[in-house]
Amino acid sequence: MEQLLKLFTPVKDLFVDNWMMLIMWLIGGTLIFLAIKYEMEPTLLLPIGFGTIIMNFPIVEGHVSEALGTLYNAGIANELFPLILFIGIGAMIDFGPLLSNPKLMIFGAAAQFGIFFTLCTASLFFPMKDAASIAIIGAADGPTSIMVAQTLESGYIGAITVAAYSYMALVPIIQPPIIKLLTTKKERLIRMTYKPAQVSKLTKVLFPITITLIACIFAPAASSLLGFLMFGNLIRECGVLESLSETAQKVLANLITIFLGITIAYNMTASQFLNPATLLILGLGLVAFVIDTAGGVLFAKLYNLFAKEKVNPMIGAAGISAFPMSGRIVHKMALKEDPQNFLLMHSIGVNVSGQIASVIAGSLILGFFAG
Amino acid sequence: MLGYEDIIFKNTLFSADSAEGSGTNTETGDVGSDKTYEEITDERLDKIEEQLGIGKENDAPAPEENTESSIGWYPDQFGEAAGSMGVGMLGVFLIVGIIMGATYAINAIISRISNRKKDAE
Repeated sequence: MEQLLKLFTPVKDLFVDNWMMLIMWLIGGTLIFLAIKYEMEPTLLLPIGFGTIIMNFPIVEGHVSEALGTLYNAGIANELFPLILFIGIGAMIDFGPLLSNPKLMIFGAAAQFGIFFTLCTASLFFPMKDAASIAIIGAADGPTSIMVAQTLESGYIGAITVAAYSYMALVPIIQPPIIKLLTTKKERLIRMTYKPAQVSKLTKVLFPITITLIACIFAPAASSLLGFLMFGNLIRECGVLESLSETAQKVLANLITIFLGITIAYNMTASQFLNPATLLILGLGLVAFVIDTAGGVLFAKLYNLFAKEKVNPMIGAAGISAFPMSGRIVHKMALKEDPQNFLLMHSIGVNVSGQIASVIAGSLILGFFAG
Repeated sequence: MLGYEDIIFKNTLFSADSAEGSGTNTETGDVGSDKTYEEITDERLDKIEEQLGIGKENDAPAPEENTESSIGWYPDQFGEAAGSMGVGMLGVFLIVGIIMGATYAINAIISRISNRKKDAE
């Protein structure tokens, strides 16, 4: 009997003495479940979930952390993975709807209000650099969140990344109630005519180059992120690099996503994740998304007070950088109210402008608090 | 099999400049300094490791070392954050406005060039 008990002692030591490990397994398993069952951002949540499980296994911890540490140094500590991923994202984006109606950009800018509102709120509870890193969850953009948190040397990069990607996946649940709360039925029924102005190839080629130059002059901290995003877009739009464009959109983006997901788990250890700060970060991340949505919608309503040609205020909510989900949600909501109201081109235009504006907001945050 | 420490120890033991000062006494380490051979060898080993770049700490701190920040109550920071909010939103609108203006300019210039081409034809 004693020998039998001795046999189970290491197992008891493993589970009883490392109960926090079990909680992290549960968290990792939950992320995997959400990714597979509900298809919530599976490209990131599944690798993060799996990485969380293996990073929190004491017997193999050293081996795993060494491997992930190497990847972490190679791609996240030097911000390389987010930048390369942005090449792929840039190659996926079609700026045509935005270029045919450039004034939509201001709604993308307005929807970044949640970042700065969350900065004010988080600054009450966290040191400034951590507060800024948490606020950037509101950018609704994984690479930007990772890059800002890493540059500011936040100790909560794991929680911030999980929050950012989780809420991006929850945009279909978070946004509609806020949009309905802030708009009237009459406002939701406003039709926006789409005049498909012919956007020339030259315009589509000059646009990424121009934005990069503007970013280098006015927001140097954004030059790397915006530069890589626009490089990817230029590969797509130049028309002579079809194979590179396809590679960037598919192979490159998928490859980096695999490494990014599992490497983020390097920070998903029990000691880092299981503390009251994580809950607060998840709460503040939700605040950021809510205020982003509200900011965009309210700005669109303000715009309507002065504009001759009214806009449907719902498109303001599409300024959140969750591309293309946010744009599609607004379009679907409009169709639900009026089956003849097609807002897709407008909402997607605002959505892509939100992508640019979120990077600019991130760069300003870095400009204020880095160094 | 000798480890590298042993090889280096033996090399330093028998090298001409294995100790501070002049003269050597390989038994007592009495070579014009108060240091024992272990201390001297440790110093030599440290120097060699430094030159070879081995024994350096990993670039990324171990995950457990990252938890320097902590929750607290920082009301003094609110003013700075509010100021950053104002400047930040202004900055976002300003830069987006510049991009928007540049886009309109590009559209106008290209439209004018294509119209001129059509007129010329």
